[in-house]
This record gives sequence, C-alpha cells and structure tokens, in this order.
Amino acid sequence: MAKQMSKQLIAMCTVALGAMYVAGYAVTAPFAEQPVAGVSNGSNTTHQRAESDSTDNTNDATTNGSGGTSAVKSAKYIDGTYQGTGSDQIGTVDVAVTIRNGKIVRVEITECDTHYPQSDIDPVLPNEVIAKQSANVDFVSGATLSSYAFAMAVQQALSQAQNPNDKG
Amino acid sequence: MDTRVAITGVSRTLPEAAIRQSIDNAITLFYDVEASCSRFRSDSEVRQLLLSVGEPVAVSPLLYHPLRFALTIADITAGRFDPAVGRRMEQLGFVVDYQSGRSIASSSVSEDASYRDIELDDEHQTVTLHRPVVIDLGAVAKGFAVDLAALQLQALDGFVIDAGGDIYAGGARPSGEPWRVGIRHPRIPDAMVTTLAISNRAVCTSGDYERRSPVVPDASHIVLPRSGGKTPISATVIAPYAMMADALSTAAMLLQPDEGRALLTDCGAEGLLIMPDLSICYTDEWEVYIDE
Repeated sequence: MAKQMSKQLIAMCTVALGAMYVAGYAVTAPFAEQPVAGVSNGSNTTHQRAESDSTDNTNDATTNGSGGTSAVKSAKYIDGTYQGTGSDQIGTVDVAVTIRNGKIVRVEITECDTHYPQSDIDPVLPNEVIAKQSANVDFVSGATLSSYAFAMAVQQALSQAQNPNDKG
Repeated sequence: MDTRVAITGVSRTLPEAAIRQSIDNAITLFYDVEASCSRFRSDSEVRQLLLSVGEPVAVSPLLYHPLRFALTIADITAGRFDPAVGRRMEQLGFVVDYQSGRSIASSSVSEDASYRDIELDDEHQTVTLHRPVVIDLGAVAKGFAVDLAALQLQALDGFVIDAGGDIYAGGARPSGEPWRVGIRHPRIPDAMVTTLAISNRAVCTSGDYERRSPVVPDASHIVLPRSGGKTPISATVIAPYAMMADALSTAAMLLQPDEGRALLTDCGAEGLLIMPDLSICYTDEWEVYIDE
C-alpha cells in the first residue's frame, strides 16, 4: 500500500516531465561538440586575487602562533588572515578568513557584489563557517538564499591557510 | 514566482559557455511554468479557467501535470492539502503580483470551494471547474519547475537548483562529494538546524516564517482548510522529485506530526518536522542524509 503510493507519485512526476519533453519545453542539452581540453571545470570560477599579502601570511603564522610551536604544527590551518574570492550566477563575494591557534575565528565578507543584499548571507553563512570550522555549507533550504560564491571564497582562503604538516 | 532562483553547474568536460547556456535554458522554464500556473496573474492559464466555469477547458501540460499532482496529494490527505485554497489566501491578503505590483482578487468565487470542484480528464487533458475556484499551485508549481530545470541540466557532472528553499542537488560537487544543504532554523535567524549530504534528490522546506499575512496577524501563506490540532512550524522533505518534496512539505505543515510522518513514509519520502516547542520528529531513514 505504502509502496504503491510512493510509486504512484514518482510515476506522476516522471510522466509530467516526459510530457513536457514531448511538448518541446525541456529540450535536452545541445552538446554535440567534443569536449574542449583545458577549459573550466564549472560555471563557478574562482579568481586568485593578485596580492602580495598571501605570502606574508605564512610569515605571520610563525610570529602570531601564540599557542606554541607544536600546537601550530599539528593544526589544520596556519594562523593569519587570508583572502578569497568566489563567483556564481548571482554575483561575486570576497571574504577575509582569520585563523588563530589553528582555528577559524573570523570570517568577514569584504565585498558582496551580488544580485541580493549582503544581509541575506551575512552573518548567517560566516557564522556557519565558524561553527563548523569548514566551508562546507553550500545551500540553505528554507531560505531564499544560497551562496556558492561565498563557499568558494572561503574555500579558497582556507586552501592558503592549509598547514602542510597536517595529515588530515 | 516571487522567488530568487539560483543555479550552479559543474562539468569536467563541457566548455563554460555550454554550461552557461544550459543554465540559461533551465531558468527560462521557471517563467514558462509561472505563465501557466500563477494565481497572481489574470492572464495565466489557471486564472483563465475561471472564465469558463462548468465546461471542459483544454490546458497545456505546464498546468495539467502540476494540477493533477496537487489533486492527488489532496486525495491522499483527504483534502487537508487542498489546491482550491486560493480564495482563502486572497482573504489573508496574498493578492499582489510581484511583477506588476497589481492586486488580484475574485469576489464571485465560492468561499467553500474545494478540490472536489475540479475535474480533470486525462485523455483529453482538460480541466472542468464545477464551481468558481481559485486554484493555488504554490505548493507544486515551483517544485515542478525545479524538476524541469534538473532535466535540462542532466549533461552536467553536478548542479544545484535553488528556488527559494526548494533545492534539487544533482550529481556531485567539484570534489566528487555530495552537495551539502543546510536547513534553516525556523525561529533563530542565523542558525541552521542541520546539514544534509544530498545527491540526485530534492530538498524542500516549508516554514511558517517565509511569508506572513499582511492582514491577519499570525497567519502565514500556508492555509489550513480545516483547523485543529498542533501542526509543525517547519517541515523539510527529501524526495526523488522536487514536485513531490514541495507538495509533501506543504502537506506535512497541515498535519499533526504523527500523521505527517506517516504520510511521508507512505509516499517514500524522508522528512524532518519541527514543532512550535522546537521538538522534532523525523522519518526512519532521515538520518541517512545527515552530513558527517
């Protein structure tokens, strides 16, 4: 009985999409061409910011590492402030991520050039990154917001902060 | 649909221009669905039905299938979920077309109209209104558009369609892992309830916090046709199709938690219900989707 209802609903969705296909609405993607070598792995392009302070940050780690050398060595991230930029269909987001004692302590949206107001994602997404200590939140269900651009920007900043001595 | 739609696409083989093109094509489907299904536009197919009450009207598949689906959910829930709530929603003040800014309201419509006043003919794809009914497809049309968009994006290695909380995550992130989808806390503005790991599934959340009635205090855009009982303040549903997840999350908002949970299980969907006291209730396989 339960199985039947599930099957019925799934079948209705499938039929609905099939009917639309037949009516010519959802044409399948017209990609007959050969794959082009060396081109983007996605519509989300991250731009490396040309900046000199990213190298400085590595030095900061040795001076700012107040938690003791061994603690810094085993930490996932090296202390400092790192910049990242991410873009998606709805705009570009720049962030500054601050690492202290190997932990993400601050995520600041330094630039928000998107089709939605910055208040839509700030501070909810920065807070989430600090809470989870990762950039692994891509989309938010139950809210009219999402920012892959933000996640990419944080990811980029964190990749610079990565401690080469950290094995996991 | 008065909702921001964001699509993210990832491909290892396709050039960026092709990815952009497929995303653009997918976005236009939202406009197509809206032109047929919007209760707010006098020229929409669903609104035009009111001009021919009592006779069968041939409609496009863009209207027919979402309506058919909504009526099926109405049947399953014995009318607790009812797409004929349009007139009630107008009374609550949900009357303004977000594009034109114009108000729309229908005075000649029967107050007690229900989904039983709507008859479909599968063979001829016609709709007959036996009484004047304002049909609201808000709980299915957006999901249907998301499903159409997902079909359009199948050539990509990974994609996410986010239409105001109705999310479909296809394939994988650039890293090869499933997409991570957070669920907004219904009461604490900056908080998330949990994070899901999703691939080739839709996740839809209905909440009483999304759209508050401008005329009736404490009334939100989800209208309970018959009152009674304690119902959730947020319902998140994971299903193979967004139309399913969308309709079932709305339906679950109208049911008591044990009923909602049973409905989701019967329909092969997983879900999380949050109650006014912030207690939660979820289906057996829900935890499979929790990230970490």
